[in-house]
Amino acid sequence: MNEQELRGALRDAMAEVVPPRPVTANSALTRAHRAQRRRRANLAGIGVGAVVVALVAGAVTLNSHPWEGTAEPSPPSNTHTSAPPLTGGESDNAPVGSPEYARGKNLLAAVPAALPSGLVPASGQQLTGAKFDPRRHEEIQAGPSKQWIYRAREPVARPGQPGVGEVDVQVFGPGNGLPIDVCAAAQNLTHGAACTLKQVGGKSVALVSHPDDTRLGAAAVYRYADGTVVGVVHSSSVYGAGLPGLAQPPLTDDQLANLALSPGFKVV
Amino acid sequence: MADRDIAFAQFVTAKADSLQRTAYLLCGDWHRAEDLTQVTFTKLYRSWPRLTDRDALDGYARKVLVRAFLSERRLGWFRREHVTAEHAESPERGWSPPEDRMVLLAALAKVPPGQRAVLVLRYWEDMSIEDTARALECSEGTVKSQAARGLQALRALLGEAPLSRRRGA
Repeated sequence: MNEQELRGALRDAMAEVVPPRPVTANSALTRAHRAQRRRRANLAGIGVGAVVVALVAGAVTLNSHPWEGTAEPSPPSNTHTSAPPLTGGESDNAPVGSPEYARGKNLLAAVPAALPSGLVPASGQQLTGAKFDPRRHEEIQAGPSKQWIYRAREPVARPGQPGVGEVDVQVFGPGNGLPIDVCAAAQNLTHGAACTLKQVGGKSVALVSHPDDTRLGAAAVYRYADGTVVGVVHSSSVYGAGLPGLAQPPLTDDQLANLALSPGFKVV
Repeated sequence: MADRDIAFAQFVTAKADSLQRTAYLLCGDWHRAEDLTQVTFTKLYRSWPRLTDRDALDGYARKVLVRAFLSERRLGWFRREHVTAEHAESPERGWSPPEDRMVLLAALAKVPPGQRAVLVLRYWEDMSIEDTARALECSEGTVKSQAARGLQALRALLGEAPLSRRRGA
């Protein structure tokens, strides 16, 4: 394959693709205005003197949304300044047979057994026609310390009922850098607006929801004493898979909180 | 609506689709592509008063997009991705890819993010080496080497035959 073949192949591949939810001017403006208000509020909160210092330093990153929190590149100008080179070579998934791969696989294998009664892994027949395989495990190396994050996604269904939902589990090992406060960690992970603590067998589980984003279901997050953080998100559909969704979210809040405590999910 | 908002809305209307497609090629997931595109527009709006050179706006938008993608890759948030850095399991439960195009997109998503960004900008956006270097804030030499490595990685993932057949060679 050469450069021209890749150009052609990319165009072939994208020719049939239609974004499922294109960004509109209205939604972009709404978010931009909201970010601007938040930014102004933050600037007001830290005081004029600090603002001046920060602006002079040219490193103001005050937004609370993680993806908006990184400084944008300088606007185009006639001069091109040097910047850190591409890092490249980041590892996305662990080699088959590696310990990390085994942990990801074990995490996925642990999900069906942890599901509450009335919820089962979706059958092959229910997944027919999906645009991708909704059942998978993933190992990601991320963050400055190259921590491994383990993720398992299980499509779920209710026996005798139509539709496929999803249970998505992520596990962050000790030293993950997440806030110690479990609610703060949960909000950090999910961008969730509201967090409540639920006591389950003497353990505190954070439950968060994201009312502004209907694509994300509620999430439950539990932090073990050694710092391992387990997060579980459930959704009434598998986003982008093109499958019919469940009529209701797969889990109740109680079931979600219990699921986050599943011993099988602590793979690190 | 303020003049700034009108001009910004026009830009979004004109560019949202192409930016979202580029974001999709970068991250391999429509949900994240939408988020990245939104983040890009939010950052652009913040800088809008300073963006006086409208001819440079396209390039700047792509720069913001790809920087957002590369920054986001280094964080450990819940991400809604559907691609390939993942290991599909349980073939006995009956799923198989419905379309050949997924082979290329899946392979692309397995290429390391920095190399993938270069491949997308160079061969999807048709940006020059110089413009790609500017967008990624790296040297032209880095763009060349990352492109070569990215192509090599794609070759290894795909082999020659599938793409050659697709292109009618």
